[in-house]
Amino acid sequence: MVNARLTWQREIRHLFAESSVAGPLFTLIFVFILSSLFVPHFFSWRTVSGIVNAATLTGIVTIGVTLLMISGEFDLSVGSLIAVGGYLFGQQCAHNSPLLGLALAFLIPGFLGALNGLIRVRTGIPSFIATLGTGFIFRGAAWILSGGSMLQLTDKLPIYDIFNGRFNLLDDLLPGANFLTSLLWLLGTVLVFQYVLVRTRYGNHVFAVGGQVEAATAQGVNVERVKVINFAISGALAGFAGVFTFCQFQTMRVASGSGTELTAIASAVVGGALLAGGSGSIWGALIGVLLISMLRTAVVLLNIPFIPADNFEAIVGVTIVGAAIFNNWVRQRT
Amino acid sequence: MNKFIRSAMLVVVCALMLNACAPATPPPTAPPTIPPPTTAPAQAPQPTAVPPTAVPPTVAPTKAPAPTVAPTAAAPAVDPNKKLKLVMVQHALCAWDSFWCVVQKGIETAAKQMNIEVTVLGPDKFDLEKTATLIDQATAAKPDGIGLTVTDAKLFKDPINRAIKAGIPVVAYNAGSGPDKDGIPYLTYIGQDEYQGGYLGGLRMIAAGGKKGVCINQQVGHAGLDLRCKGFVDAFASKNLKAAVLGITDDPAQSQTTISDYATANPDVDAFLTLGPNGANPFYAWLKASGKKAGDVKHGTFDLSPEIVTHIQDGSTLFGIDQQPFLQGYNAVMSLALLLRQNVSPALPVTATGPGFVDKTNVAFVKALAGQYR
Repeated sequence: MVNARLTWQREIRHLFAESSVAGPLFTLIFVFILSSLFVPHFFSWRTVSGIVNAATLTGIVTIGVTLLMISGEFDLSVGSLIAVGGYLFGQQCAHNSPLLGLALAFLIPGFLGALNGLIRVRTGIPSFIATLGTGFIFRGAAWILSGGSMLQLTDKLPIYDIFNGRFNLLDDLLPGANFLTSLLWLLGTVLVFQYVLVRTRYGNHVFAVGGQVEAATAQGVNVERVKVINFAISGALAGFAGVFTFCQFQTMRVASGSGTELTAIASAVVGGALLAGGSGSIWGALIGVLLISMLRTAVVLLNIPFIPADNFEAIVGVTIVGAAIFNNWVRQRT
Repeated sequence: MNKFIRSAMLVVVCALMLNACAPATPPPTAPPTIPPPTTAPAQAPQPTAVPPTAVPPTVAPTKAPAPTVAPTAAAPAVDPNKKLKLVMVQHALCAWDSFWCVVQKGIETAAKQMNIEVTVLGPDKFDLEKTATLIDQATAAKPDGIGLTVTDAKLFKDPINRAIKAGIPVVAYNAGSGPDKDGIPYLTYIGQDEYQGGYLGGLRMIAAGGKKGVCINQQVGHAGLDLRCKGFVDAFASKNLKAAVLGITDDPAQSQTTISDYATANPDVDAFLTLGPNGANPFYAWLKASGKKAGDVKHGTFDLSPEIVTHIQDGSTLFGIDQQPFLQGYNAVMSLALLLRQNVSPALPVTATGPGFVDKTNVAFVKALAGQYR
């Protein structure tokens, strides 16, 4: 009996030490329980579905950004690529050829992402600077695509419901729920990339490239190729996020998605990814996005009298920093 | 290293040569040749008769109004065909905010009709510091006149004063409160009285049965948007009712959840004001998701978009406040041209283009012009 308890404790310790997800997951559950107890209206399907919906757009982008961060690179151009993808998709929807739009919204941002990667590995400019620059260029590309005007369609196409419509099955089952079909796509994408990261040779290479470049090269890993592919994935997923946005709101502006790149990086870090690379997980990224979204909802629902509702972002900022510090602390103690 | 020193020396030499070619001292800037603006008498009639915030009605003009007769010395010659170069500096661009496409269409139309060369400058995203530096850039280009948005009177004060000091006539459009309230001696503000827009919008929602309001602001810190919200909140306060401000972001999915959370936490809020398509878009998504019907809550908004027009028609939106952006751009160029060519200056500190209310009664008429001239 005593032995069993010791094993159990060792298992827990092991979990925290080995997995970068344990800390963020613990924080997420902790904040959820705390909010459910003390925040009015929090513990309901309406709230949970709202938190998830707010996280889907950033979530898809964060997956790509996290993959890149594990291989030791940044992508600050994803915000602009959301607008590029959204316009490519929306404009084809206006011509009633959404499938072509979908293909374009994947391929062109993916190609532009690969371009980011090539600039990074061929010139040696830090990706932080390179993608900061290309982010402006891609925003310009979105402008050219759009002709400078907002795209807003009033007709509904069936494809909108496939990507980001009402999730009838779940919503009819759970009272008050308002889940969207994007939840399935998000979970699917997370599963695919988590599998790639931990169960395939390519995943090993990603960790190796972000950890110790010399060792990876000595092992025969093509460092440049891994990085360029990751940049392409990050770009394509940003384009996909543009498709999501357009499917839900049928509206795309040139400024759409600006700022998402920073939320994505924040989520990845809250989810346990290291800025230096070599560590992190896709699950963690998802948890990070959900945690930030949950905090925002909790702060709005709290209705704190001395914090006006137009200034709750500051509270969210404080909690992001807090969560990151807590994660670090958990990791170092175990 | 040697190469570096050599190239550095080359650069220095080139710089010296360039300097030598330039005139030794800039010609003393002649005192502004523009006649002082014929400031209107103290009681500038506001376009609408609603009590403004706290400004007593008898503000004495800081400067005694100059006689309308042009000064005798150095009266600028009247030349209706004078070649003009104008620069417009605004805090947003058509490139990323569709509202501004209509403003810029007004600017371009006026420029074409009056044969004027106009350059439009703006930041590539909402950035007031950047906009302030663009004003200095415009001044450095020495145009005949500058039109600009006074999005933040404190931050823009010095750059605008530098332009005026350099002898360049300045008009404000779209964002501002007039030279008196802003404390900057530009000629006139052409645009909507933002405060009045929010105030009158609030009164309309109260008249429709609104009891507790919220102003959904997508750019907290934008002086014009903040004023709209202030007017809205003040309108509720004037009837002993309450209203608050809710800040949202550029991510529509996130904004929808924030609006939903706010409505859950404050179930008694029944009057929602959005400040443009960027706020109305997630608001409509929330309305649809929450299963509310038209008329369950009162909604009013600033500006128009295809979506907003549809909702005014089906009754779920009470009104869209039209500030006539085309007129703002057109009038800014025209006022400068009239001053520079015919020596005619604007009369009032605020040249109003709005608020104009678009509701069920007149929406069909305006719809035909939406995105083009309205």
